[in-house]
Amino acid sequence: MPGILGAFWGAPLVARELENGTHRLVWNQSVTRGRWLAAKLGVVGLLSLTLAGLYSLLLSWATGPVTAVLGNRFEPVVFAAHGPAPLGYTAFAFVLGTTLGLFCRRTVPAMAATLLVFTVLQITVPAVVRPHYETPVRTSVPLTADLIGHLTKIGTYGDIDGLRVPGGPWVVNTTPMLDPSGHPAGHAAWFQDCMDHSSYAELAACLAKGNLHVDISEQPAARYWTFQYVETALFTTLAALLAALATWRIRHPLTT
Amino acid sequence: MTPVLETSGLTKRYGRRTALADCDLSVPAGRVIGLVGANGAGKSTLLHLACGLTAPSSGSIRVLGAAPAADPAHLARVGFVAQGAPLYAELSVADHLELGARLNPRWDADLARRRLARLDLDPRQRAGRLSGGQRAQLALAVAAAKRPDLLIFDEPAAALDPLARHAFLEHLMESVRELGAAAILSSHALPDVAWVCDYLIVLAASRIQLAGEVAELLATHCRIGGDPAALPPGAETISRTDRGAVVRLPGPLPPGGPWRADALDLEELALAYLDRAERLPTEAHR
Repeated sequence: MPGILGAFWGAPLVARELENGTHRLVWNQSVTRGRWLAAKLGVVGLLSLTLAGLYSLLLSWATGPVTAVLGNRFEPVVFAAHGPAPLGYTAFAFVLGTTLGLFCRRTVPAMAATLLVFTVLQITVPAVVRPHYETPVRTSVPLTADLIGHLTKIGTYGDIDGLRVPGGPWVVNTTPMLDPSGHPAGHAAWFQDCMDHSSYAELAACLAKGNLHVDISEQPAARYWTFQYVETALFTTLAALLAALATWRIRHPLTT
Repeated sequence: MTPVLETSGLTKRYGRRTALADCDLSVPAGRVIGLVGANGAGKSTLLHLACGLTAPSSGSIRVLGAAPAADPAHLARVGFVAQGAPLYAELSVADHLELGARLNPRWDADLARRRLARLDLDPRQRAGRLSGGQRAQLALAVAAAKRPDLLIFDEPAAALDPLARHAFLEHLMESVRELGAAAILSSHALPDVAWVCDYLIVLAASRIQLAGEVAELLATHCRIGGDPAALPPGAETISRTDRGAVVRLPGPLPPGGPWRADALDLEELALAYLDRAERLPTEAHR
């Protein structure tokens, strides 16, 4: 949603004027270009924020119960659609589109570039930047049959993925399954026996008998709102920097 | 009085291409200035520099005594109609007047209304559906109603048919008279320039070839017919045609002599300088 707003409202904002030559009309009225840009960014930007805010509220209302049950609000897709973060994304995507439009001077390439940059950030920020907003907490989680049953992946030698710890913290990192003495359990004979001779339904119970645990680093569930605000502040700051860049560029006479 | 346009060593390069080189001008106030030259000679570049759409690569330019587009007050004093009269295609005629009224403190709504009333334009008509002549007229009305001290037109009549062209230039002259403004208009249509302008700038090969009051230029240039070897003393040949040599005279033509001197019109004068620039691309500037 923020990417779409950035591409379809942000990118054409200045690029279309440059393409149609109407900047030569409007920049020669008694209003400086800086003020003209500020007015455009302000009015259309606020409209985008309102729309994105309403959309996010609607989505929260619709999916809230599901999220509460699953306890997965830290998952990238869910995190990005709730709370104030979507407003930060929208402000950023919108100013990004406008700025790219000002530099490329053509609408369609600016739209494509906006979507591309925004998508790349939506993938890299949760993976690379977001885990470091606060130092993760290291802890140990005993693997009950129930937890094992909900994993999305169990590797041949005990690698796991998709661990969902009760209480809903964000599991940033996890070791493979460990035996009570803290050694990887994946190469033990009994473990391979479970892997080889249990049906999918029995596997969780079979592995749970080994008193396994994993060491994880996690962001506790209580930090959710801190993370939301940090993320919002990060993208809002980026938006402000881009707006400053665009203002500098537009004041500097273009070579037309 | 402050010159309308004053440049010194004004140069504009786009990458490695020089669009305008070493341009020195000082145009007095109250003139209608014709900027003449072939396509690509640098006319649009000079006009874009004058209204601050572009910055010089080197040299300086002052318009009405200040840097172009320096602040809102200066923007209000210069009206500009770009080449092709850009308008917002999806906005109506009335919307364009509204836009002008909101963006210009000196906006003269009455002037705009009077201008458009004479043109038979439906205010609800979208700008994108107007004819070329109507677009130019609307752009002119928007530029004039901000009551500028200087109106700049880039090839205003280039795409118009003779009738629309005539109507447009009349409208232009009326606006200039009513506002008491100066005007600069670029064109490659010499008859248009001859009709409305009293100051001439000839631009070719990115350089100023000739600049001055039309009356003065016509008084100091003439065509010498007959034997080309017999020129008045001090005369400089600008260009030769089968009708004779166009020359610049150092002073009044001495009486008598073996030559036959004919007065020039603005069109011949401009052509002579354009012709010279084309023949002598390197020596063309003085």
